[in-house]
Amino acid sequence: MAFQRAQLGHGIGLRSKHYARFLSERPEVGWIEAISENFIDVGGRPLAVLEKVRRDFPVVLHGVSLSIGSVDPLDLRHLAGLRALADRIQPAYVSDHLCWGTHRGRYLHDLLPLPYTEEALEHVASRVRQVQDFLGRQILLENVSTYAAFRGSTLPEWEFLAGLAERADCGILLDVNNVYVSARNHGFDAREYLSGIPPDRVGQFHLAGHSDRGTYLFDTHDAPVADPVWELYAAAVRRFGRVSSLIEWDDQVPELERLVEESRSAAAVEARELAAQEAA
Amino acid sequence: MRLAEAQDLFAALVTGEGPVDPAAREALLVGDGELSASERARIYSDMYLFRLVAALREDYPLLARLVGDEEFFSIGSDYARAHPSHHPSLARLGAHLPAYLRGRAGSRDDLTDLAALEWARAEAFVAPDEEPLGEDALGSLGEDAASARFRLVPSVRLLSLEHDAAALWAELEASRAPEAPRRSPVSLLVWRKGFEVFHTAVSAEELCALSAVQRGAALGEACAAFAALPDPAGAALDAIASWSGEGLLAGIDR
Repeated sequence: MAFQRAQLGHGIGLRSKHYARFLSERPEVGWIEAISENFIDVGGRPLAVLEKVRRDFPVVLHGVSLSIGSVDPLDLRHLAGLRALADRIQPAYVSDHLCWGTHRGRYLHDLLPLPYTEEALEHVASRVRQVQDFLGRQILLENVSTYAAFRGSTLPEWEFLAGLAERADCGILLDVNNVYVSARNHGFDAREYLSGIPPDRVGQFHLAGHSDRGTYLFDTHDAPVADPVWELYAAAVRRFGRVSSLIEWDDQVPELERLVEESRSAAAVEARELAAQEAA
Repeated sequence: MRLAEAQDLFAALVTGEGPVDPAAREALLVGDGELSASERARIYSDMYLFRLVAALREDYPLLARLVGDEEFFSIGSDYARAHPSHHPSLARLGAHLPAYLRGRAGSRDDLTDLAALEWARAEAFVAPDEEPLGEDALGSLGEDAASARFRLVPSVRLLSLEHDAAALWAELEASRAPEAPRRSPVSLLVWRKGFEVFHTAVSAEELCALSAVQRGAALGEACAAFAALPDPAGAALDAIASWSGEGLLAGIDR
């Protein structure tokens, strides 16, 4: 079994603040990520913007409500909506998060952490296979920022994620900021995390800003990428090679030009690291 | 601890609903010198209501402006507890807020009606697309018009309100201080034309006719709503011409 990495370059997220700009112009980025739930079963301006964006760029559909780790049954109605959207948009990837967010039929609308146990690993792998069968395509799962860890965990997160990718034959969306945030919050080594992730499973990177709340880091997506995260991203490029990257900025969203500039910074870091590798 | 039990406990910690034995919390989560297990759980529970109320604010910006941050957070968090989300999209969270406000004491009597208008506009904004009929479509109706059934574009929403929420909406949109609420029943039509959402006051008779059309009634039956007016046929023709001109009609089934 294998995972095929798509080379999309460096992209940004589609946010409602920029809808008018996307309708009238084509920003200089490689690709666009759209939040799946914002476009399932909708029409009007949001759908028109997404279709225009799709004509201009490769698009990745990134979900927040798959709840792949929940013990609740999979929401087949949601999956049918996602499949219809993917059929319409023909995304380069469909991705979501390694977490859970539903409980007894209720959506908690959060990316909640899992205990990293053999039971959870088998449970999530089985559900990823179901989802992939339903959608007729591989998905990518993203590591989330976490603020709590379970006493019952028997595996480090990176072993869980790597094992999941192999067992379920899915891809990994490696959020470099989330690795950094979780490493700080739980006291593990972010570079050891990278070393535990199999390069042939990584299809995409996320980069984002976070906030320092004194006793912990919080994944706020409301600021530029922090310097230590750029350094970790450089390390990720050295390990994983050329991987499509995305700048996430969801709160206090700046003008489009600032997002494009941040995406160019990612391209520059990648170019620098790949050139240094080649020279060596 | 099994995964299902861990998620039961963690969900109780996140939502703050139901007591969680501190010993069970300590058995569930790791605490350390920086943050105890309780403090780590609190990060999630604080985020939970904050995120839900922020999502409601997206759909009810004028209600939030009218009542202010403190009352809106109180409304939003009470509502979120009373109406847990059962939809994958946060944009659907506020679907029951207008009805919920009807049974809740608030700072004004017209909050329910303002919320109903904001929700109708939010729904119309993202309603599925369907191309409206051209202006010449009515010309083909002919003698069997009474038995024809109109299909409305999916964005159409019909509101029968106790207060003039359209006037309140306009005041708040213009950042003017709204007047004190006064009972003044109004019928509102909400729809989308292109990407833009509109609302307008219509007569009670026209709202009744549109409701009948939306339910699938034949045109003759729907237009019975105008029967008590001095010129029922004229009123019906004016209304139908207006529906066509505003792009409300998506199809005619005979």
